[in-house]
Order: sequence, then C-alpha cells, then structure tokens
Amino acid sequence: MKNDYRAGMDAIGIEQAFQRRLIDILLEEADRQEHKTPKQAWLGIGLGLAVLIGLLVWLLGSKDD
Amino acid sequence: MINDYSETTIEQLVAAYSSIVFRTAFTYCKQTSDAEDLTQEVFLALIQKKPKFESEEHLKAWLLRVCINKAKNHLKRDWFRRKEVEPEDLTYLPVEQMEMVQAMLKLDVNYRVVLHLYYYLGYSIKEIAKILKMRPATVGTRLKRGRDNLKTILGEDREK
Repeated sequence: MKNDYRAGMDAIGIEQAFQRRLIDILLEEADRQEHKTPKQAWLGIGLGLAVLIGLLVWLLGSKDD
Repeated sequence: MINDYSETTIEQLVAAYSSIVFRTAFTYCKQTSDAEDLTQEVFLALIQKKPKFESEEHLKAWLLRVCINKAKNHLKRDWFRRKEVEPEDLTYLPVEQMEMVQAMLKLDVNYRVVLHLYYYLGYSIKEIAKILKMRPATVGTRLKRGRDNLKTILGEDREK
C-alpha cells in the first residue's frame, strides 16, 4: 500500500521545463526585491516628511486661532 | 543552502524542494497545472519574505506549511466550493499505483494530507502535528480514519 502510493507519487513528476521556468521567475523576483528596497525607503521618507509638514501647518494654524 | 538567496542557492532550493512542494500541492488540488501554480506561489513567498531558518528541516517544514495554507485557500475559492475536482488522468501509471493514488485522492482532504505527510514524506505524528498546527492526538485519529477509509475505497474500487 505504502510502496504503491510512494511509487505512484514519484511518477507524478514535476516537469523540468516547469522547474526551469520557476527558477527564472524566482531570479527575476529576487532581482526586483533587491532594487525595490531603496525606492521603498525614499517613499517612506517622503511620506514621513509630508506628515510632518502637515502637522506643522496644522499646529501653526491652530496657534493663530 | 539556508538563509541565502543567491542565484545558485535559488536553483538548489528549487532542485531540492520543488518536487516535495509540488506533490503536496497535488494531493490537495489533484491537477498538475494547479499544483504548479501553488508551487510557484510558495517559492515566491520564500523569496519575498526571506525567513530565517535554523536548519534544512525547518526550511522544508516552512515550505510545506505555506504550501498547505495556500492549497487550503485554493480549495476554498468559489469555483471549488461549487464543484468537486476530478483527479487528472493517471492511466499512465502501473495499475496498482494508479489505484492507490486515485484512492488517496478520493479521501477527504483532512485525511489525505495526513496520510501523504506520513507515508510519502515520512514525517512522524508529532512532526505532522507541528506542520499542521494541531494536536498529535488529532493527527493520530485522522491517520487511523484515513487508513480505514482508504481500505474501504480500495475494496469498493476492486469490486467494481
């Protein structure tokens, strides 16, 4: 029982073409991840600055009242 | 090979683990094309999250857990709720193997996965409990019931 299942599952093989395609997709993704980090950091800094400026404007505005 | 995601390592990871992930996905979705999609999703999650592993076994268990979670979500999707998927044609296998795999694929998914992890991947009840995040006693019960159901299915199929 166990051996038939094992042998049967082993025979349901993963195609080499699929493995090759998978490797290509993963390498592309790894490359994208590497180049994404600086962009994300700049986006974070930009957002942080915008929030800070917004807060300052709001604080100054509320002082005038 | 762990905690390193260089080009060579990615190739090694795919060579070492894609078959295990693919076949585990296949036990859920019963179709090669869906199993390939799930395998791709699992490996993409690995590259995107870059988790830190303590050992090769830890990495393998992580891949299987992610695969199982993704496969469960896959089964939950609308289309699957309405229709039970027929296993793909396995007539290219020798008769005994085909009967066995088909019988396994007829089992309820909860039994199917436990039997697959136990018989195919050789995990212990304790290890399966860890991967599936359930109590060892539950795994033991599912293993027993799964085996009983499998015998019934095999008996019925042979009577036909």
